[in-house]
Amino acid sequence: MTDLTDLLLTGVVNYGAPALALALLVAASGVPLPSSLLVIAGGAFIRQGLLDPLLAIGLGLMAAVLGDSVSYGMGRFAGGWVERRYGATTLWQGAQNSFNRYGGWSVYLSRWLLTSVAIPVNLVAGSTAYTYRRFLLMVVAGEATWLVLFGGLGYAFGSQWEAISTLISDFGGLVLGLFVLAAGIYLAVRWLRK
Amino acid sequence: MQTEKLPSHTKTAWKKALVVGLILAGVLLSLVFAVRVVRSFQHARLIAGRRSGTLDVEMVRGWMPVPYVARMFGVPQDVLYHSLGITAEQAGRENLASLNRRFFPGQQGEVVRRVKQAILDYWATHPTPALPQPPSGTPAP
Repeated sequence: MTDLTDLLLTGVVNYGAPALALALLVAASGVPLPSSLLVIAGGAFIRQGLLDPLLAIGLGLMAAVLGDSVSYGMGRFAGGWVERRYGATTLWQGAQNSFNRYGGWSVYLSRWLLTSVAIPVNLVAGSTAYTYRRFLLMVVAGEATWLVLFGGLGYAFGSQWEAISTLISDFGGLVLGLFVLAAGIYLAVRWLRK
Repeated sequence: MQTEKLPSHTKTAWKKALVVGLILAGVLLSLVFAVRVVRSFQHARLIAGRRSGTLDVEMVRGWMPVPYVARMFGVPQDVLYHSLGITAEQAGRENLASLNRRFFPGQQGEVVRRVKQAILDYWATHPTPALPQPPSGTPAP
């Protein structure tokens, strides 16, 4: 584990749910922190009686949603510039249409299954003027899934949570690889049909 | 955007490169992480099997502060501080790695080693606690 991860874990052990929530907020705002690992550890700490489950999940959910809203806002802010520069092009309009059609799933799945693309998805959602209400709905559902699923794994594995966190991190990489491969095959098939 | 001004053969070349790049990157990522998933699964199973139901001093990590180690391993804090030759006030909320840097510079892993030994010595004269169980009435998250 890195020094930063050690520092964050020590912070959660010393200061409890508020420290966990602060780390999740910063991570969801775009700062690369090991948030999934912290959620798994949080589940283990709940099992050890170190964290209150309702407070940890409640504060964690609020913080993660707030952080996502911050990165959505950054996308929205940058979107004005992008819109002025590229708004008239068919490529940008196509991207906007695609996100408006499938964006909900992208937002939901990137919270817990494809976590490595969560920040880019937030920025794209903001910059393509995807409605905040829909974004918020999917973010709340996705972050709740993430907290319960990953926290639940940490709770189930208890003191052995470190072993499961590596497995989950690698599994996330595998899912991302399969997703990229599927996207490539989909584009190749569509292109060959034309 | 630039691509709209490009001739059609250049656009086709870009599309081809994108599709090939995506497939290659997808295959590479999938293979690398598939191997890592298998390895980490085996590792997790090994650890889970080895440690089922019992505490193991090998679980002591540098990120743990002394009060957390004491709670997790069922050892009084004073015993651990005594093994390090420091007081609770001196240690504050620092973790073992940080205490090592402050009190044992140049002796990497000394604090963790001393803490492990203190736990083992304490367990030799007291009953070994079981793995921490969920507090009664605490629902799973």
